[in-house]
Amino acid sequence: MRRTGVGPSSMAFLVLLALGVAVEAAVQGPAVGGWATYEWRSTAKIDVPVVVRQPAASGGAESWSIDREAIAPRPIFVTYSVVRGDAKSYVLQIVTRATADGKPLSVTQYTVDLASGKVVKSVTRDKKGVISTPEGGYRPLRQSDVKGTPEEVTVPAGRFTAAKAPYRTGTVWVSDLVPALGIVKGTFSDGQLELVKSGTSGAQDLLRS
Amino acid sequence: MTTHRRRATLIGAVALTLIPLATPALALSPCGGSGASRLAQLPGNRPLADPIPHIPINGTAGFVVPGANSLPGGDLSIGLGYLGQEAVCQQEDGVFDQNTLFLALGYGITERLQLSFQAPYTWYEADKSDFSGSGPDDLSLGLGYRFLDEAGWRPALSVVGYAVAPTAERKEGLGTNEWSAGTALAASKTIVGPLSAFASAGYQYNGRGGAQVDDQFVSGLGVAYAITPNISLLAEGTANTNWRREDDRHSDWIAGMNAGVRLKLGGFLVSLAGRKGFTNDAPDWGVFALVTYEMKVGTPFGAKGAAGPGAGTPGAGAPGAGAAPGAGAPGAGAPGAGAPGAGAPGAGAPGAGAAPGAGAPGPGAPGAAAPGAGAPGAGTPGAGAPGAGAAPGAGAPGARAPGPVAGLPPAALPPSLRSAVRDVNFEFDQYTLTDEAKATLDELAQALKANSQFAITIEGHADERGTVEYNLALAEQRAQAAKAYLIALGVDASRVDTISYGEQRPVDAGHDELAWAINRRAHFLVRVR
Repeated sequence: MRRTGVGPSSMAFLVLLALGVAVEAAVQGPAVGGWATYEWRSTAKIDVPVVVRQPAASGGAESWSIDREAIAPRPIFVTYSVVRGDAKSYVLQIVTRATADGKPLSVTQYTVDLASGKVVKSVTRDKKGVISTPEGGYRPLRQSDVKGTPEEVTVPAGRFTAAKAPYRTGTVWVSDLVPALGIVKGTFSDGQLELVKSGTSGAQDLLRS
Repeated sequence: MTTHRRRATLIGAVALTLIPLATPALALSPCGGSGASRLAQLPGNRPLADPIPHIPINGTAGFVVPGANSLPGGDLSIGLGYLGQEAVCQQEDGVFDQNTLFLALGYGITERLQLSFQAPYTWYEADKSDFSGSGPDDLSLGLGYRFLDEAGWRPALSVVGYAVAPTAERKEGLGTNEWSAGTALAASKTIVGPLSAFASAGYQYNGRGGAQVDDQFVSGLGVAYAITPNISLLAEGTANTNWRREDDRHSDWIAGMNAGVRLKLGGFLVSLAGRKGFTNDAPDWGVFALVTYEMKVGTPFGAKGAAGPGAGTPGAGAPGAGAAPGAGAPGAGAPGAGAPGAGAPGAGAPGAGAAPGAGAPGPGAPGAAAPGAGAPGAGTPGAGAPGAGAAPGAGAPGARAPGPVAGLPPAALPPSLRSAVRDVNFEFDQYTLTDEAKATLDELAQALKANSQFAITIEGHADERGTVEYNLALAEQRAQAAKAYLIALGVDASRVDTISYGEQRPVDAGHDELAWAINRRAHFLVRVR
C-alpha cells in the first residue's frame, strides 16, 4: 500500500525549511537604498555674547560691558541611509549637514552584522581618505523591535501612525514606513530627532562615489 | 576633528606635571658626589626617589612639562601609567632600577580650574648591593588655574599650586620623608599649524618636620607636533635645581630630556616616551607609558553649558520704559533669554542706527533684543534716552547676573550684531568655510562694520577625534579661516582675535556624529574696543 501525505522525513524537511525562512527573515536587514533625513536639535547650550550698556555717570560717557546668554546650537540635519547589504551585513551611512540639502559636514558608514546587530566596521573620510572612526548614534529600528503603543505623530515629513516606546534616554516613535532608521521622532535627554523627509530608494554611497 | 583638551585648559596638567617635577627626591641620584651625600640622609638610601612620575594626565602638555591648558569643566580623567628609570653608579651599588606604577586622576572643576591627584606604587633594586624595596609612594595633590587664554601673540597662562605628602613608608626606602609645597607658572602657545610649545617654571619648598630642607626650582620647555590626527610627536627638556639649606646651600642640577609619541586610540590617549638624563643627578635613562581615559561626569561649579535647558525665557523682558519714541522695546530678553529672536519682533531700537535697520548700539538702542528688530534708520545715533528700553526684569529665569554690572539693567546686543553672532560649523577634518558658514560670516561682517565700537574673538573648536595637538592646530586653522574671511569683507584685522581650543570645549558632550557636527565650529565672542 502506497503511503500518501507527508512522511516524517518530509515533515522534518519542511520544519527545517520553515525555521530557515524564519531565521532568514529575522536577520533581514533594512532595505538597501532607503534613506531618511532628520533634523536634530541638541539640548546643549552655547554661550553667546550680549552687550550690557552702563548708563553714563553724571557728566561721563556711557560704557559697555559684555555678558553672555545660553542659546541652543543650530540644528543639524542628518541623513541615515542603507547603501549596501548582503545576507550577513548591511552598511548604514550617516551624513550630517548644516541644512537639509547642504554639503555634507561628515560622512560615516557603519557595517552592521545582521546576526549580532553589532557594528563590525566604522569608517569616515578625512582629508587623505577613508579612515576608521568611533561608532555611536542610532541604529535602525522596526516596529517589532519596540513594544510601543500606536500613536499619531506629526513631524515635518508628515503625519504618521507610529509605535511610541521608551528608547535609550528618551522616547521614540517608530514606523515601518520610514526607511533606513525607522524612527519618525525621538526625544532624548540630549536632543530631539524629527523626520524631515525620506525615500525608499536612491541612497548614494558617498564614500565609494 | 576636534576636541581639544589642551590649549586653554591646562591647569590640571600643569599641576600634575609640576608636582613631579618639583619633587625634591628627583634631585637625588645614587650616583655622583652630591647626590650620594644627600642619599646618606635618606633611610633606605633610595636611589632614584621620584615618587611622582612627571606626567600631565590629560595630555595637555608634554610628558613632564606642563602647559597652561586643563581638563574641560566636568571632565574626569583616569590614568594608569608606568615609569621605569635606571641609574648606573660608579659606586658599590652598581645599577639601580626603579619602577613606578601610578594612578593619576584629574578633574575639571570648572573650565579654568583643575584638581589633580597622583598615587604611585614603587619598587626598586640595585644589582650589586642588597638594596631593594617596594610599596605605596608619596601622594600628591595639585590645583591649577588658567588665568589667561591664548589669543594672538599671547600664550595661555596658568598658575598651579601643589603639595606632596610624605605618606610613603620611609623605612622601606620609599618617599622622601619630606613634605613639599610649590607653585609654578605654565604657558602654552600654538606656534604655527600643527606645531605648539609649552613651558613652565616654578619654585618648591621642601621641609621635614617644621624645618625647611631646601629650595627647589623647576623649569621645562617642550614642543609638540601633530603628524596625523591621531599621532603627535613630543620633545621636551627639563632643568631643575636644589638649593640646600644644609651644606652651605649646595646646589644640584638635574637636567634631561624626554621624547616620544602620543596616540589617540578610540577613547583612550596613550603616551609613550623615552627619557635621557644629562647630569649626574638625573637618571641615566628611563621609559614611561601612560594610558588615560576621559569621561564627562559633570560639575556643580558652572562649567560650560551650565545654564542648561530652559535657561531663560524668550522675550522675558518687560516692556521697556523708553523715553524716546518707540524706545520701549519689548523685553530685551538679555541674559538667559532663549534663542536670538526671542524678543518681540518690531522691538525697534529707537535712535539706534549706526546703520539703517541695524538697531545699532547708540544710546537708546538697548532694548532691541530681536534680530532684525531694529527700526530702519530710526532716529539719530545717541538720540535715545539713556536706559531707554532697558527692560526691567529682562534677565529672564536662569539668567546669569551680568557680573561687574550686576544690578544694572542689561541691554541686548545691537540687533545687527546679535543676530549674526552664531557659531559656524565645519566639515570633518576641514577648515575651509562652508557656504552656510560664509553666509553667517557675511552677516557678521556687516554687523561689525556697522558697530565699530565692538571687536570680536573667534574661537576655533574641533570634535574629539584626533590628538590634542592635531585638534589644536585644526581649530586654530578654523578660527584663522573665519578671520581671513571677515578681513576680506572689510573688517579691520585689529578688531579680530583668534584662539584655538581644539577639542577641549565641546558644546555637546555626546560621542556621535551629531554631537561632533555641532562641536566642529568657530564661536564668536564680542568685546568692547
